Amino acid sequence: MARRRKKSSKRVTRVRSGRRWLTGLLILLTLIAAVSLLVLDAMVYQKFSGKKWSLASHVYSRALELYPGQALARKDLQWELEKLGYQRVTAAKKPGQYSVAAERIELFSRGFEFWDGKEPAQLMRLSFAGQKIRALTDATGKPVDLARLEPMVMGGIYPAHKEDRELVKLSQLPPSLADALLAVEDQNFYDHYGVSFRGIARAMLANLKQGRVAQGGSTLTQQLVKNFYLSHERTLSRKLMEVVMAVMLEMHFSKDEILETYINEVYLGQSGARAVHGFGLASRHYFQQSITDLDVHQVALLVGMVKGASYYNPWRQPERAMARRNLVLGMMAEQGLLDAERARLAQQQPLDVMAQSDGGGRWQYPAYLELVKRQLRQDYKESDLQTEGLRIFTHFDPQVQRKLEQRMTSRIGNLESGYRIEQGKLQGAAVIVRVGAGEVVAVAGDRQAGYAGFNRALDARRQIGSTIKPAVYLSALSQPSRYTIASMIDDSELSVNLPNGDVWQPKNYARESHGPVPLYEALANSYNQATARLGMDVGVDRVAETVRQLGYQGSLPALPSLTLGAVAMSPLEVSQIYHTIAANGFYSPLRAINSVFTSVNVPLKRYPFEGEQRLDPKSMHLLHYALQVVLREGTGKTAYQRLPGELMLGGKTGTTNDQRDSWFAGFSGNYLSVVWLGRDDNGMMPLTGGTGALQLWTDIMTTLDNRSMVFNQPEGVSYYWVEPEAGLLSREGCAGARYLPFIDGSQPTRQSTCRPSAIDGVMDWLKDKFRW
Amino acid sequence: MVNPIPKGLLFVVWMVVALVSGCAPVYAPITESGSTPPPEATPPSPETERSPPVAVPDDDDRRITPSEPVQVAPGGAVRRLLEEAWRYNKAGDYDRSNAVAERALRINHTEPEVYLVMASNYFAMTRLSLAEQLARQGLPLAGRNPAVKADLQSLLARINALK
Repeated sequence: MARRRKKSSKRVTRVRSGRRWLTGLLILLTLIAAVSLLVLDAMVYQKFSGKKWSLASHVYSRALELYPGQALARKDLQWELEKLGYQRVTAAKKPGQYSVAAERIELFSRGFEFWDGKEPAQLMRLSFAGQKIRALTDATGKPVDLARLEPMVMGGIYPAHKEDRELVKLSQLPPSLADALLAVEDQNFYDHYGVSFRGIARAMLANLKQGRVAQGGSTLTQQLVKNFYLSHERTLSRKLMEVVMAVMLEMHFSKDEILETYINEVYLGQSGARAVHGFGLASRHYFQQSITDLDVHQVALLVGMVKGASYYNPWRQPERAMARRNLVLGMMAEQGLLDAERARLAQQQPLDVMAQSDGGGRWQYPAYLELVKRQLRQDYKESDLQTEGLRIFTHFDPQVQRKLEQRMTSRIGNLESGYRIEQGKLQGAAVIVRVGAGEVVAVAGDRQAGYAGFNRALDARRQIGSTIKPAVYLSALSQPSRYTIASMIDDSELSVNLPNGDVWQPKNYARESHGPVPLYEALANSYNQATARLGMDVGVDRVAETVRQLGYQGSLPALPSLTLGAVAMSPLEVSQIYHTIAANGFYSPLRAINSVFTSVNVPLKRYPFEGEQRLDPKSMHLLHYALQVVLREGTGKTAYQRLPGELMLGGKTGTTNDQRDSWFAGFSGNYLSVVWLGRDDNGMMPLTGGTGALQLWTDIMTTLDNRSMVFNQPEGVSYYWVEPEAGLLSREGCAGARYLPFIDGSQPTRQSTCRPSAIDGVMDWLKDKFRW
Repeated sequence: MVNPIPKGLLFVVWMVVALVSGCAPVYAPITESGSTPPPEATPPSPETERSPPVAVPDDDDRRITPSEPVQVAPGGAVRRLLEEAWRYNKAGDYDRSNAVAERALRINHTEPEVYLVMASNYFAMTRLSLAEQLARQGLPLAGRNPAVKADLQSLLARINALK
């Protein structure tokens, strides 16, 4: 009995101990669960209330200015409107639309916030005469002096995960979008606390009826939790976690905050490696339109795609996408969001997606984008560029770029077939800069437009040959007591003993010597022997210093061969040098970027026009004279076969040893273009600067709205008729006489004995009077 | 014996022909042999924002002459931008003023007043060196515009006084 009691007592003790242990365990588990929930809650709160996404930075082109008299053909404006995603309609009624009638365009521009102020959305009418805007008026017919279109997104700098999105606020959305989304995805959104048991029951019933998973019971909040916080695995634990977190989210944040985040988070498509998230970017991706400009049938398509962006892809599966869109429109009508007639009309609309998924200009200009990135990296960390959603405004001109690419492709093809160069071997690069401001407007890094590989414009460093010669002549002309533009330079053969024992014997291209030639003529005809002699007389160090003053920052060999361009540079570096020349000795660093804004449109940094006068305008004027002679009479004269004679242009050809590189650098008053042609394997070509690069340069210049170079006579420079060979002042009409500029005091002093006849005198007077 | 035509008469006939033909060489674009694509744009015709016409070099005497800085009133677009730039300048918003002036510069980089407003902005920002450079760039373009020329000279004098 006692033993039994003892046993019973032991059992009771064990049970009590077990209960205590169990209670302890329960308390511990409860505590762990509570702490876990608290931690989870903190995580949910923190991620949602902080910076939600790493935002890609977007790069914009220049904004197209519109004004009467502007050189812009109707078809070019139309091209740009299409790139910007403007919709062609019969009558423009809202921002983002345009209509065309004969030589007139009516367009309703979209507003845009620029650095210098807001450009309002406005209806305007443009009429064209030939290649120009003849008149620009508003809707009432009142003349408009100036208007601007919004810039084009021409590229982006993306986070490592390649997610891209354009953030939008609920207030920006067309009212139909949020309503349609809720009608389709979560009709009780404003009534539940993150989880809808009614929705789950309805989905279960529907699935049981159909014998498969046909409907999901997740609320919009649960979908957001899944996309924003969790993985996409289908496990019970993940589902439980989703429910808990959805409730937590609803406890902390308003319905509108949750809905806005969903609209920006949801995955809506793919563009190559880049994932398209959110309705803002999806609108651009599929329609090339701002979300604010969408019609109800477009809204319905996007809403329908939430269920499966790939399955309902309107390009790949147009019928499926159409059926889904029409289903959404039907649901909107059922729920009273749309009257039946409007829904019927919307269902009859085509899908209206853009022709192809090229994203406007987003990925077509990798060569220019690379230049932008390099300039940005001087001021920003790579991580900031990839995550801060910066808005980068550039000087990129898509019209100029398009023309450059077209000409590059066709000219290189023609040269290959014309000169029997192995197909595909000839390569090219070009840079186009707006003269004065130093703004890079177009870059081609390959013969093939849109090529994203090796960027020859920035990275191909090739010998520049005679392209360096202006620096040699400028060095000489900067010493008026020693050299004038009429100085006679010896172009006979020469040999130079180098310190290492070698002998340098430069030859002219045609293997001929010309004896004494006037300085301007030696440059115009690109005589190597005269230039080498001049360069060494001036001093190689001095020539190198001039090249640096012109803007070259790399190292230069202190060798006589420098005078003939035995130095490797990229087309961009040559552009910097020639821009200083084109800008009359005013150095300004070439700029691709105009300004940078934060993701919420706060101005961050502007890249203004800067620079300094590095070279004397008087000697620059003499050089400008000689560079015009290059194009009028020298190695560049074929350019005027296709360019108007009244256009004043300056430039210089460049050909390297064995014709491995063909260069031309030249400028009008408003555009500088530098062109390089060659082979990647540095092989020989049957091309010179004149027969190769100059031809492409001319092609490009014929497409641009060029103005004559500014060739104003500076104070301290006077023009005289001289006979360079005799070194005498002369008169017009005398044999060998030429009208040349001299820095005051450097002109010849002795007078030629030549006297023009009386009739010549009358002609002189008449010519001077009427400027023939 | 046939009487020779008097030289004076020949001269008069020549003059008439020259005047009728416009006294200027005609430069018709010549298509290069080969397969050059046709130019997309036709040669420009006069327009409001264009630089003044310049003397055409004569192929015969190969004369390249400097262009005369002729004062042309800024076109409507540039005028509007200049007014806006001056407005920001007076309000002390020099960055914005420069941003607007740069737009004018892109439309017509030979308009001297653009350089004046930018130089004035940099002067106010005490960036004297850049102000001086810009004023010097504008001066040769001022040509026969005495008001802008005087303002540029006056600005240069003030810059020099502070240096």
